[in-house]
Amino acid sequence: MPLSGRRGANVWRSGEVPSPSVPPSTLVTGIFTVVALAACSTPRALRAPVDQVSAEDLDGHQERVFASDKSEGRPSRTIVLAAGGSRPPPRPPPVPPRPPPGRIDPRHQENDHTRPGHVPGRRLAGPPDAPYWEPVLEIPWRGSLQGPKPTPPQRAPGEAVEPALPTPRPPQQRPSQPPPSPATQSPQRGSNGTRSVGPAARSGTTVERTAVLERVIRFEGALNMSRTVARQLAGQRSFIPSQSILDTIAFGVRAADPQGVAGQFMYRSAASFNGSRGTLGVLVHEPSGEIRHVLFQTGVAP
Amino acid sequence: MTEQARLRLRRLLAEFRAGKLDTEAFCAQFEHTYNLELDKSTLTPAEAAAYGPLFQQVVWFSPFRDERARISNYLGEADIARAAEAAAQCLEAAPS
Repeated sequence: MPLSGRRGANVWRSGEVPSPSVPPSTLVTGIFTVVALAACSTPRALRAPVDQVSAEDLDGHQERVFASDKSEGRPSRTIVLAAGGSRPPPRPPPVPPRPPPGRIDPRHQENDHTRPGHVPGRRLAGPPDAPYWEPVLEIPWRGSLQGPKPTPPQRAPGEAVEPALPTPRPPQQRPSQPPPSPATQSPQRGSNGTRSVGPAARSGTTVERTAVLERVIRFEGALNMSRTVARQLAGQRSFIPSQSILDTIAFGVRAADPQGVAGQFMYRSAASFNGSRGTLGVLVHEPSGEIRHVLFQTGVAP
Repeated sequence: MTEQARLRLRRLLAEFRAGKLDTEAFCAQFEHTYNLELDKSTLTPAEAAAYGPLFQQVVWFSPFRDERARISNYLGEADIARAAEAAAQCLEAAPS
């Protein structure tokens, strides 16, 4: 049975039929009003009981299911289908796009190129629209605010060819810095391209070794060595890295110069190269911090 | 490899004594061959007695006169030439 017919029957049986004493014009107006109201998209569930709607709109199987659910006193799953129909619920209006996650950096807003009258750079002072701008090269902060990390256990003298991990220590000021010499030494730079703070302090194991390393490492980060050593490290001994030399001075066995020169000490450490074990020896003139001899000798124990 | 290294050491010593090889090149090649390529356990007693002391000399060679004057550990061309002659005599004295 069509639903409209039932609706009409319900309308006329609801007692809204005007009395015969009403004028015809008012009757016609009322009829149109009632018909218009009946044609509106009012949910049927509001005007009819749920069981009636389910019995009218669904097939027999669903009607039996509904009846069984109703007899057991449980809420029926078909109620949602009857109330909402087969049409999906209306979608909410689109949410405006959110800003990217993370903290809002005021410098990005400050350097926003989309603003009219913007000048690239950082505003130094004055009101926001002041033309005090200057190009700025920003270096990202790679440090930490958590303080120095705990010092790992001290490394035993061993493979000098393998570079050792830098031990973080508080920065230490150098008491005196020798004047720079001609660039005949190999550079010793930090990981970020700039000279790290206190390389001698990170490599030194004792106060005396740290003092020697402070004289061995120049201000610009190069090693203080003679031209002979620099020439050899650029030639037949180029496989010896600078870090191994520093490790040998920091952790190696210290002995007097075998040739007995005053102020010179030989640092020896076990090393290996291409599977050949040997000893890396570094002769240092400690008063000046000049490295005067570097040699890896195979088949010799330190 | 070891046999080639032993032959190369003899050739280097001969070329240096003959003046075909300068001191700096001889020291660099002799050091590399003896230290990194040669299996020293295969050397004869005469070769070990000849090449060992020579190696201890060539590693201290310095081509800079001013540094040789300032640092007494460094050796010059004359010192290396004398060490090479001593090694050659040690090899010639031993039966081949």
